[in-house]
Amino acid sequence: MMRTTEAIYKYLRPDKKFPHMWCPGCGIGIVMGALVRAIEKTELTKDEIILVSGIGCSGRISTYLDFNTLHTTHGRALTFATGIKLANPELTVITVMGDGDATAIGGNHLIHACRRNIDITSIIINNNIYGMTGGQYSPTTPMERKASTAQYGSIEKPFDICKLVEACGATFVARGTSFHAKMLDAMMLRALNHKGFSVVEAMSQCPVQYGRRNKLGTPMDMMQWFKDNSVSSPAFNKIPPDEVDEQFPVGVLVNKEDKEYIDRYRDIVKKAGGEVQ
Amino acid sequence: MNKRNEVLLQGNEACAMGALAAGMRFFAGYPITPSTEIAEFLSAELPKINGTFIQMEDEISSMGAIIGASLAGTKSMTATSGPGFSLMQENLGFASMAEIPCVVVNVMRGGPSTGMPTRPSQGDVMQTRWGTHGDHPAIVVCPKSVLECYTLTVRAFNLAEKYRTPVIVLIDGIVGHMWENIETPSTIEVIDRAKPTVPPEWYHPYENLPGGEITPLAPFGQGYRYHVTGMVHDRSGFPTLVHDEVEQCLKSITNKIKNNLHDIIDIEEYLLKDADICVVAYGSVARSAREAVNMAREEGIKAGMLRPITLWPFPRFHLEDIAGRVKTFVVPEMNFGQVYGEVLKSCPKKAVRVTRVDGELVTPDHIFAKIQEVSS
Amino acid sequence: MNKENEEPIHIFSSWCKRCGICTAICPKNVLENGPDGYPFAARPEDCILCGMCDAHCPDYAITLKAKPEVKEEGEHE
Repeated sequence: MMRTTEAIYKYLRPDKKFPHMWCPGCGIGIVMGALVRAIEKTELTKDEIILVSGIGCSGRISTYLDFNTLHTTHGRALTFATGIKLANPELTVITVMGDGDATAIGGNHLIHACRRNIDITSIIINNNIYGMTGGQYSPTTPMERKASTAQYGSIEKPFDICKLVEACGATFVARGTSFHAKMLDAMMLRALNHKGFSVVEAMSQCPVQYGRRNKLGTPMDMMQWFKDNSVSSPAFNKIPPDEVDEQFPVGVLVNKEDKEYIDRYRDIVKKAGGEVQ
Repeated sequence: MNKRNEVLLQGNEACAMGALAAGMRFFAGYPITPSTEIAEFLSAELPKINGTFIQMEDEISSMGAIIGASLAGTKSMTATSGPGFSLMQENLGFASMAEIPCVVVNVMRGGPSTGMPTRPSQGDVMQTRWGTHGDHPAIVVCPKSVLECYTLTVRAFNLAEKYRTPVIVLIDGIVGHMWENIETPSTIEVIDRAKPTVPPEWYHPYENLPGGEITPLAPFGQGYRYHVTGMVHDRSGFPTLVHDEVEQCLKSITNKIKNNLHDIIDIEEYLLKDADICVVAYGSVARSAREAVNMAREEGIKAGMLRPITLWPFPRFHLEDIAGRVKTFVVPEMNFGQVYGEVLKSCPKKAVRVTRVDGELVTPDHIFAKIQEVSS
Repeated sequence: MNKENEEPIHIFSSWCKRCGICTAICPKNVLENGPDGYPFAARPEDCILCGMCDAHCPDYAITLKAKPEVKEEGEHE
């Protein structure tokens, strides 16, 4: 059997109802497939993994996977994850959030988790829209794109999630897309192995709430757009800024070492005269 | 002269010390007057015992972090005041729904909104009951002294662990900032979290056990893999919309409190046996009320006092019982009558209130005047 | 060995939502959408087991019978 199928049978909860609840052609299933392939390549047991998700389409990932799973409140996945990681640093804590989840309602938590450089791996599935509530514009909806709350097109400048988290201190930042499914799991594996706060932005298609409203074609057409406009990060950096149209860089964008939060806290415990376990 | 083992403590400090004595090893909070001393004290003490202190970016995240830490098996707490307590309501509801034990300290200040940060109030009584949306349980303990800040915080942790639910320690600004000599109890009862007795494949975190026993919460990472959600869930923790399961879920989170009122409710009675007038007071106001009762007794007025130590669940049956014997209830509070409303529910037409919302405490004279008025 | 096991591609139609990604992404044009919208292997002999359909199926409804021989896409850095 192929990797995906093997990993899927290994990590999906067999008692959950499949097919899953995402719409036909939704990229979240592809991203979840990449995540389980990445986890399969680590030596982690299911018990060692804590998967924390927020609210929205992406939040439902936690229901399907056979780890210790926590489906939190909207935008708050990182706050719960911070508590879990600090209380038991031996655990591998992964958060899965959507674009609205991570950068709108959870934006404050995101920037501070980056700043602390706490050892949590964050997967942000960016489909440029609030899908579950019916296609409202999110902080990553491109200008002029339509949404159910932007009937005449969005007038807000979108966030570049990778630039945002880099500026806030994340020590590993990568971007992939649902088209680059195999590359995505390689990035996620590196993020999981990275000590410190790591972010993988997985750009994904929402063919129903975003694609249909903006006449972007079939799910495959939307993935083709990812393929056509993604440029590897070194090549992207060579494009003169005024020639950048819709292209965006993919690949590992930041990978640096910095002292991790729990290690810093252990120093505090020593200073206070406590015993580090 | 002080006894040797007495220490001069502030209410907020005593609360933090009680938490440590109860086994709390994780604190997340955000600075806010008048509760900040709790965070400051714990930021110094927790690292000494390899516990965790973290100052989060706001109160929403503080509440999220303590729920996460509790799921990882650590007793956890946060402390805040009015505006911060409002921000915590979202995740407080999550803890109620997902049945995660944790303790939230709310040192009340004048509200609404920014209100009076440095002035005391008892304006959050109803918010501790109904602050988060939906039908949910509430356990709230309310100390009147520095010693009780210690002992009731211990009790809050015990109730949280025993009933798998968030518990609120509701302190008014006077008690939180009051200094008293106290002798910390040499022995205290500490309830630690029960461990599952079944192997992982038999474990359902939300199973209703016979006799109303509550399923122990398995810490994350120890072989009991399960799902936790704020959605209405079945016995395994997965979201459900099946009618029977929905009703079962919502009933079980409230019934575990309802069916154990005798164990949870705690009151103090003072000179109530022969009383004609019963003063119902809590927190710092109960100290003034006790003095007012003494003043009344000196005048030959048969007054007594009932002090709800657990504000929620409200000691309604005690009140109904007393209502059969007394003529009038006098309810002094530092709000417009939040507990007064509860007293009216138990015994209509028999209660009067003494309210004060100007940021000053209710004095014994103030209460005594009302006792005199109703006794004549 | 029964016939099904000889086919390189197995499509688990009860999980398939007919999104059309697999038929569009196959570099060898092996898959086609049937009249009911469900994909089927029209030219199984052309399959090179590259794994594109398997990795991109959002519903995990495709199983390839053998491990792919081709190397995975290089990672951008």
